[in-house]
Amino acid sequence: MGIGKFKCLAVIVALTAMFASTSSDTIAKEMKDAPSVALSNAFLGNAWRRSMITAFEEAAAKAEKDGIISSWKVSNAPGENSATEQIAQLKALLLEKPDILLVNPASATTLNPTLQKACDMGIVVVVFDSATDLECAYIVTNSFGDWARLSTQAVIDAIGGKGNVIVARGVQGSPPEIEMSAVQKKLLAANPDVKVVGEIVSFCDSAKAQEALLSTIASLPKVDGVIGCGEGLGAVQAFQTAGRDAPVVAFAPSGRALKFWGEGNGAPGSVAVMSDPGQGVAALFTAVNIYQGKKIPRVTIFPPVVVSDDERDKWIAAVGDDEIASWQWTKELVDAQIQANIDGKVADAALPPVPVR
Amino acid sequence: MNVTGPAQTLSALPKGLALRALPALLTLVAMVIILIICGIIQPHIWSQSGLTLIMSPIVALAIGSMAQMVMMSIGDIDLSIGFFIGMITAMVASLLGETPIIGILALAGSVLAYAFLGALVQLRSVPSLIATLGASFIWLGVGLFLLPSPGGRVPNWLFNYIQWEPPLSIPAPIITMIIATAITWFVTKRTKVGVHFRSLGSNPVALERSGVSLLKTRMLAYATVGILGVLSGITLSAEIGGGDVNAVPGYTLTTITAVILGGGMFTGGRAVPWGTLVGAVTLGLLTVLLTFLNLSSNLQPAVQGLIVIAVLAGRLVVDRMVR
Repeated sequence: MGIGKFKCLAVIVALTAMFASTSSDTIAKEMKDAPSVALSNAFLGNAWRRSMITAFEEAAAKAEKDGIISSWKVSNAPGENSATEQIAQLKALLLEKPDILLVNPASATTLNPTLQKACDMGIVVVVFDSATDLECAYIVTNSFGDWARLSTQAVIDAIGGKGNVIVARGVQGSPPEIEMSAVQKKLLAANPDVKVVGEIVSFCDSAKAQEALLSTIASLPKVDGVIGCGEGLGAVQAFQTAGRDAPVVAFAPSGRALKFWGEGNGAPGSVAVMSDPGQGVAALFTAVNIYQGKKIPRVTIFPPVVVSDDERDKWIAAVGDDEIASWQWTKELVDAQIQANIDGKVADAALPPVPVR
Repeated sequence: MNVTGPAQTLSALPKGLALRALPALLTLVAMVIILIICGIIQPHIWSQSGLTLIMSPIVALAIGSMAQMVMMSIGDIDLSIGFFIGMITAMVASLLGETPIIGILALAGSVLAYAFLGALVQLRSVPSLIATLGASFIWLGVGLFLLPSPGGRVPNWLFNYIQWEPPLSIPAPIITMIIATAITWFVTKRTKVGVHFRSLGSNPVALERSGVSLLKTRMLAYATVGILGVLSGITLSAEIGGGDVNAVPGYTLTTITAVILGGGMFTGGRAVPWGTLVGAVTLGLLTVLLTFLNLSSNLQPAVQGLIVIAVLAGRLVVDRMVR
């Protein structure tokens, strides 16, 4: 039956060839092989970066199992956020020629020649949690304006649109602080019944806010709210130390602060907002879309993490003590957010669901 | 001599040479092992472009370590070299490209400033640790003044340098490092000035009695450190494509480690250019190795520290064997 077998084979070959010639182009465009992914992180020394890496490792392992990516690796540069260490690390990664390179950079400019080299090699480069002026790189980031808007509006709403507030400011003069301060001023101007009775410099840090508040608290009238950027824990403790009612505050969504809040500290309506450690995951799925040839804007904005009063207890269950809360991005959620970016409706886009662990 | 065996060969060497060369040899062995492991995991490094990729981030560190080595050979320690190199990148990215003459004057001025720092240390008997720590804030201030936020543009010739692919497939970074080391070797080991540097570190009294000005020697040594610092800064700005005064504060301690790994001493009197080169390359390759090894995120810094400690401990053992 040698001839029969040969015929059979010939038919298969012919069919395959036909099939290939008609549809291979469209298939190749829609579905390239699952890409390999490398994440380069400049620094592992704080809770935010550790939460970012944990979130990424969980999501990447799942994406690999689901066949969305073929392999992944995380590389943290040694040292204290050193650009040169990260350059060395990136160049070593380039030798492995990943299809996708995700970068949480040590600095917005110093990696440019190295990342340009990656682009030249045909690697999809996505920078997250930072800006970069490198044209070939895509950017996935949270907007500081959104952060300020969400935390300020929550405090204003909680005090019913009127009362005394203190404004806590971050690192004055730094680009994020300038952006956040402008949004705070705009929202305060829109609510003339909210009176600013004091201003402190908290560096968005709980301990510094506590110190700054304790030194001025005696001179302050009744305070209904503290408008700030995540120093709520220290602010509440300062008011408690002085024996006064705790105001509405903006916490940092760390496990510790959320627990403190959950124990009934901080006036009702308080909020916790911070830039999202899940950005690495958002960057991963955005990069996969770019790799598969979809049209994606160069800069994609994702929402910061927001923990509201009613969802607080669900979050406490999902966030470890040393962790920062993060959105659990999936491919579908990222696709929806990208669509919102394309449509220019980022501010109205739905927030992801509270993660479950 | 007809005795053989490792112990005998060790003692057959002049003791001083053995003391100077063995620590560097040990580091060299570590470097070769790291290179071989990297090469096994990622064979792409054995090509001109591969070696260029992994060696180019090390060039500035190697030349900066040469500067620290000269400083340590006279018995001083430089706590400002990291910010000095950062300030030079700021000068290169802000002045050298647009107004080359002012840029060159600024670089020359930095070298002069280093010489004055040497004079301060010598005349006022300020410990070099204090003087250089103070100077580091001056470098930081000048750097921030010239380039308040990182960025700027490097001159075109520097841009061409990083694209350079020398003939015979020799990686450009290796050529730069070897030339810088050879020059440092010549100055510190083959010239009268170099001998003075080392005697200033080991026996300043004798040096003074032989009629050499300690002030002039220290100023010359500091100027040499300044020149090497400038070269390091220029190569670094090529690597980062601009300037950033805060680019490498970590170099201050890394360069000291490189000198110690290369056989240098805190007490001065010993110039080890080739050893320092090997030490700097070893430290630089550690990052590459850790990237290839794919270790868990939490383990990477610990492993890096362990390797450095292991090499330093090996040096102690070797020192003891020689004595």
